Formats: sequence, C-alpha cells, structure tokens
Amino acid sequence: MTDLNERLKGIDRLTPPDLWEAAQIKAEGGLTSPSTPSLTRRLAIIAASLAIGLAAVGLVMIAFRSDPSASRPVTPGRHAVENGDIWVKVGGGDGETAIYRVDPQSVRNPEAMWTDSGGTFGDTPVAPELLADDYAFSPDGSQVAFSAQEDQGSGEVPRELFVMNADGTGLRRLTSDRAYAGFPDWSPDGDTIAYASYRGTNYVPGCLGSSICPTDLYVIDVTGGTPSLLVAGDVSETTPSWSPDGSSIAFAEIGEDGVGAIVTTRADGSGRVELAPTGAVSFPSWSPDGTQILFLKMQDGTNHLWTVNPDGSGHHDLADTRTDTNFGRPLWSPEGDYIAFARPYAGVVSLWIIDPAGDRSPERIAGWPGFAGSPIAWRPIPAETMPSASDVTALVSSSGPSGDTALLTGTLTAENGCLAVSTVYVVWPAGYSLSEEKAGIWLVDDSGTLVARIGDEVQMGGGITNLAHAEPEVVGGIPSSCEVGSPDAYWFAGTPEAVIGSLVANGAADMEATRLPGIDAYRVCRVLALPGDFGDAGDEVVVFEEERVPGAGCIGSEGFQHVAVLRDGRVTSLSRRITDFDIKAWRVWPYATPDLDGDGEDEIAVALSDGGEDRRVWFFMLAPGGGGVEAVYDPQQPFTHVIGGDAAPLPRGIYCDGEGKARRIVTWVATGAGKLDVIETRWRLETFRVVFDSETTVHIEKRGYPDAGDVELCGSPVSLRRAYPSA
Amino acid sequence: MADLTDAVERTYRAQAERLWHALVLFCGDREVASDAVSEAFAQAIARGSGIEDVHRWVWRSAFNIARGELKRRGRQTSGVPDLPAEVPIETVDLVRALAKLSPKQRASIVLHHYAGYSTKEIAGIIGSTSGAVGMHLDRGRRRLRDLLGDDDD
Repeated sequence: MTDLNERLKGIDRLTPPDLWEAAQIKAEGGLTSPSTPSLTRRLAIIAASLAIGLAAVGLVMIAFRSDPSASRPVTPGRHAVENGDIWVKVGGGDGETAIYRVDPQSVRNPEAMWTDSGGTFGDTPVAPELLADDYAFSPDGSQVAFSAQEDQGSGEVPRELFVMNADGTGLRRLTSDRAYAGFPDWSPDGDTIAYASYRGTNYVPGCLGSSICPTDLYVIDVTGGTPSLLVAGDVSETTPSWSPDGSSIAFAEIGEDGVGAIVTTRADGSGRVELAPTGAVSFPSWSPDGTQILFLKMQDGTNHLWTVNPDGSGHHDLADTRTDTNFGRPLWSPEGDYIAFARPYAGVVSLWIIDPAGDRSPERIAGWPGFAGSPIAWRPIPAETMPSASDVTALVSSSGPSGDTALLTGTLTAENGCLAVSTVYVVWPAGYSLSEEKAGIWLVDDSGTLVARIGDEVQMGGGITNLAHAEPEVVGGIPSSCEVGSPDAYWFAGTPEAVIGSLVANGAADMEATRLPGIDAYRVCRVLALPGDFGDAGDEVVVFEEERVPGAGCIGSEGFQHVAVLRDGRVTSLSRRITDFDIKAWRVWPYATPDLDGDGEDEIAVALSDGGEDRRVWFFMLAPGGGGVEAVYDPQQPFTHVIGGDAAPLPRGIYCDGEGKARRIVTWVATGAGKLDVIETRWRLETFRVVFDSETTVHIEKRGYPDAGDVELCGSPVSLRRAYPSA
Repeated sequence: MADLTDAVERTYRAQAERLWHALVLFCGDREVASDAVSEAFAQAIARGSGIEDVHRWVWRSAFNIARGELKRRGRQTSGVPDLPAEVPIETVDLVRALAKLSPKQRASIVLHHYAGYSTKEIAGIIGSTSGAVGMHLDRGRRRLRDLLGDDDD
C-alpha cells in the first residue's frame, strides 16, 4: 500500500470547474436550504471505557448512558415523534399565496404544497381552501387544524376551525361559531382542541384584540360537537397552548392597548397563574418536555423570543427577531430541540432556528425574496414503528450466522432496573445489505420502553463480513444506578480489544467480563466470527484473532487466527495458529460431519469466507475432542452460498455466484494427513439441470454423481434432475 | 457580511481545488463533487455569521452534502467512477475500490492519504473520534489491499 498516496494524487490530473460564481448565485438566489448537520438529532452518548484486566490483558468494555438532559423516555403506542417539516406560508394579502414545507435537515429546496394561483408556483396544486392561518398539527402529525374563512364573500366573514389530513385530503369543518374561531391547539391525547373564539355580532377583520370583539377560550372534541367554554374574561384570552401532560393550558391575556400577560390555568380553566414578565406579550407555547413556555415580547421596538418556567420563574430573553412585525407564534420543534421563528435577513423575511438554550447564534434556514414568509407549524412525524419487547428479545438473542433474518447480537442486560447497552452487532445474510435507515432495529426493554436504536454509524466492523458494528444511540432513559444483574452470559466481540466469554451487569454502566477458559490464554484482539450454532449437539464455532505483536492490538498488524469449537460454554476444540491463510473477513458455515478421515472420530468442517466480491472459502476440519485443525482446503472460488450436503457418504458443496446462480459443484473429502482432496476431477462429466421454480436458470456441470434430489440452493429450493446428454 | 464573504472567498481560493479533488475520490462522480463544493460554499455565504473556522466548516459541510447525495441516489449504482481518460488507470481502479468501502472508511482514507489531514482533523470533518478514524483507516487500507490485490508490500 506504499503507493496509495501517489495513486490518489492521480486525481489531480482533473481540472476542477470554477464554482465560486455558482456558490454566490446559490447563496443569493433566495431558496437556500442548507443541510444543517447540527440539526441531526444526536443525543449525547457517554462512552465509558473501563479496562478490566485479567492477567496482563486489557479488555475494554464500552457502555452507554444517556445524557439526563437529553433523555426522552419513549413509550410504544404513545406519540413518539421526531422532527418533520416546517410549514411556511409565503405571500398573502392581496398577492399570491402558497404553503411551503421546508425540511430543515435536507439540502432539498423548499417545496410548495398548495397555492391559490396557478402558474406562479409551477405545478403546485391550486387549493385556496387549504391556505389558511393558525395551523396546528395533531400530536401524531397526521392531521392539521386551522382557522379559515369559509365564505369570503359574505359580510360577516366568519372564521371557523377546520381539520384536514396533513396531505390536504379529508377536509372537514369543526366549528360553527359564526363569528371568529382561531388559534387551535390539540390536546396531547389528540382528542380535544382548545381555541380562541369570539361569538358576538361585532366581528370584523382586524377587531381581534380590541374590546369590540374579545375572544374567550373554548375546547371542542376533534370529532366536532358543542364547544365548552374554558376561560372567559373582560379582555381577550387567546392563543392557547396545552402542556405536554395535558394538565394545564397557557394562553395570552391581551387588553385593548396590546398589553397583557401570559397566563396558565389547569385544563378545566381553574387555578389561574400570571407569569412574569407582563407587557406586550403574545403567543405562548409550551415546550414538548413541559419545562418552559416560549412567548414573544415587544421590547425596545422589536419582538423578542422569551422563555419562562411554567411557575413563572426563570424568564429569559432568548433572541431578538429584529422586527416590530409580529409574524406569529414561534414554533417548538416536535422533539423540543429547536425553536423556529421568522426574522428579516437582508430585507427578506427568513426562517430561522435557534437552540432553546440560546447557546448558539440563530441559523438561517431559508428565505423568500419578495415575500413575507413566516413559519406556521412544525410537523411531528411518528417515530419509526417499534417492535414489541418480545420481538426485540428475539433480535437480541445471540444467534448463529446465516439465515434470512437480520440478527442483532451483542451485549444487553435489562434486569432489576439495570440496563447496559454495549457494542451491538448486526448480522445479516450474504446478498443483503442493511438499509441505511436501519428501520426496525430497536432495543426495547422488558417494559416495552424504547431504550436504544442503532444509530446511523453502522459500519463494517471487526473485519467481519456481514457483521456490522454499531454504537447504539441511546434514546431512552437508562437508570443511572443499576442493580447487579444475574449472571446471564452474552457473547461479546469488541475491537480493538475483545473478550470471548460472559458479561454480567455489575451495577455500573460497564459490565464484568469473564473470559472463556481455554481462550483466555490468548491475547484476543478481534473476534472475527461470533459464536454460531451448528449441529445438533449444541456445538458453536467462534473465530478469533490473536495479537501478533504484544500490546499492538489488531490495528496495524495481522493477528494469528484461530477457530474454536465450544460446547456448554467450554472449548472442546481449538485450532493452532492459522498462518497459511490470510482470512480477512468472515462468515461461518459449520458442518457437523461424520468421521471423514476414518480415524474413528467425527470431524467438524468449517467454511470461512472473506465476503465481498472476492469471496473465497476455506474449510477447516476440527475434531470435537481437540487436536486442532486437521485439514484445510482453499478452493479459490468466489461464491455467495455454500450448501452443506448431508447426503453421506461425502459432504458436498455448491458454489453460487453473486447473483444467486449456481456455478459448479465441488465435493471434497478428507484424506488425513492434514489435507482435503477435491474429488470432482476424478468423476466423469455429466450434466444436471438446476431448476429454480420450474424455470431453468443455470446448468451445473458435474463429474458424475450417483444420485440427485431436492436441495436448497442459493437460498431457493432446487430440484436436481439428471439430464442426459442428447447425443 | 462583506468581511465574511471575503473570508469565504479566500477559503474558496485556497481550498476549493483540493476539496473538489477529494470529493471526486470520495464519490467517484464529478457532478456530485461540484454540487457539494458549490452548496457548501453557498451555505457558508448564506450563513451570515457564526462560522468560526470557515476552512473546517466547508470541508465538513461538503463531505456531509456529498454523503447525503450519495445516500439519496442510492449506492447500488455500478461503482464505475465517472472519470475521464486523463486520470491514470491506477487511480480509476483505486476510486472503484474505494467505492466498496463504507463511507467513513472511504472519507478517512481520502482525507488522510490525499488531503493530508490528521486523524483528529478527520474526526472533526466526518463527525467521529480520532480513535474511530484510526480504525476506519486500518480497515479501509486492509480492504483496499484486498480489493486491489496489492503486491507492493
């Protein structure tokens, strides 16, 4: 690899285009929608490393504990949500209007969903009935409530509440207050909507906030029906916001002079508490974690974002919107990790986000030259469907390689309230790849609470083919004080240091390791294949790498490789150092075979491959009682599957290429003396047809074979039929 | 704003060529590389303020954008790099082999062996730790050796 640098430098022969002008145009063209890596939700993971020494061997245990401030217990079946799109209304007044959605995590441009003007917004559907105000998403993000004029031509111009599906279908009217209904907010259980309503006859557009048409707060069932009065007073009560536990409601009380207060009450309207500071305050919004109330406050001529604790303490000036225009309610992200708001930038009303602690400067997400755009709602999207606890138990169980289902293996204890998640491996069959989204791989504890999922850092790990190493992203609460768990054993394969043995939760975030007798004499630096079941006798095969240079680990040097057979937690057979084969990455196909070499003992053949497109296979023959590798065979053929035949007297294999087509049949036999002979060359040429589902896809050439039958080949049932030469 | 744009432009003049080459190695696709470079610099300009280290920010953003674009396009594509004849065949083979590495291994190899960044600097760019970058480099090199069948060591 000495010329790697030089080979890479060959790319310098290419002349890059001048992209500066393009960058400037993109930056100034308005519709910039930067990818915001900082938005990528990454909950802090504290990786605690603890060296556990046995003899002179250092073993590193890695455990994860969620950052308490970021801990967000998630219960399946409830509204576990993630941040979705931000909806923005562009235009308005007498001009053309459209509703855009902005994906704050994508480099995609904002997309117009509906408009009232065909042509201006390209192919955007013209749907003026969906262009409204005061959008509010249901807790699961599937529906949206809004306030709109049903009949713009009438003299009374009443505004009513409507509900539709988030894709614009299923529009239905919710209220018939015949004056004004606005600022809906869904209760956390999704059953009720609180809103502001004026029901008198003095309603004219613009009268809101004055004594002419003071609003009161009502609640109404999302299925409709008769609204119930929640709070009424002499001034306008408006812009209600539910606390996330549904017990309280925050709202603004605004007098005719625009001065008022942020107020909370219990969900039945009782227990009024006025929060400081008062003044020209508006648009309270309860944070998703319930710890803060966000609102706008006019001071020194501009609107500022403020937060205050629900008990009225700890008010905090978060950011200046730099405008006296009130663009409406600033939005919490559904996960509570960001706040979106509108602020002018170079004369353009732009969408900005800021972290709720205000530790960083606001980031500009997008802007619309020539339009007044403001965020109207941030859509929650349901978290990925979580499996039941029983599903996860199956996933977590350490299983052997192969099979058609991805298996999760690694270390997880969840007992006595003690949970420790450590390195997790995902095993999936050859020919498959794990989707980058890794949907459906979750860890859920016994109570069904989501505790971790595979993060987006899945990598090929440990040099193991089809074995991905992932650091779990801890998303749930892991108790910081753990009781000592029962001594259940979990196989663990780490890198660069590794242990083969049992792990027991020890009450802290790490786990105690006990290495397996028989292997503990080796400096194991890499586990190349996790223990995999085979045979009926409870045997398992594990492949590991021994440090070649003491203290160097496996990094930067090739280790010595070993194959071991285990039964009942004991090593029953262990190979000598395998030095003749440079086996990079591994998958194990173990075969329990009868006495192959006639020495009176059964042997075990293990096929190992290096995966990728250059798959090769080696067969190691081990006697269960010990004695190490008896024979090795390297057929030097690429393959994806090896089908072990149990049709005595001889084992046989079929190689399949990367497209699942059989290439050829090889049989082999042990001759003793540490060798395997391939016996196909001794047989006469005949032709068999391989039939996949009645469709002939490939011919297998094979030198004579006494019988044929139904086998599974390359993952598909196959009938082997003798096809006699026509001539 | 003018100062910041000046700073971004200075960074562009100093870094864009090397960044673009590194991205071509990373993606095997000149179009993706060009998009990522222009988008990263556009975002740096549009960001207005708050970027302390434009150089590092742009490298990180560009690799992020390129990775996102590859993900969006799907990595099932051939792995045959879009490279013209002036690129030496050994380099084309290497880019083809790089395409078979995980994104982090690939980025680590390119950023270290081409762009000359340290593992710590790479960790900042790809969002990892220097220890993990060391591992990506080790595994990436082993895999490349495997794929290319190197006989030079």
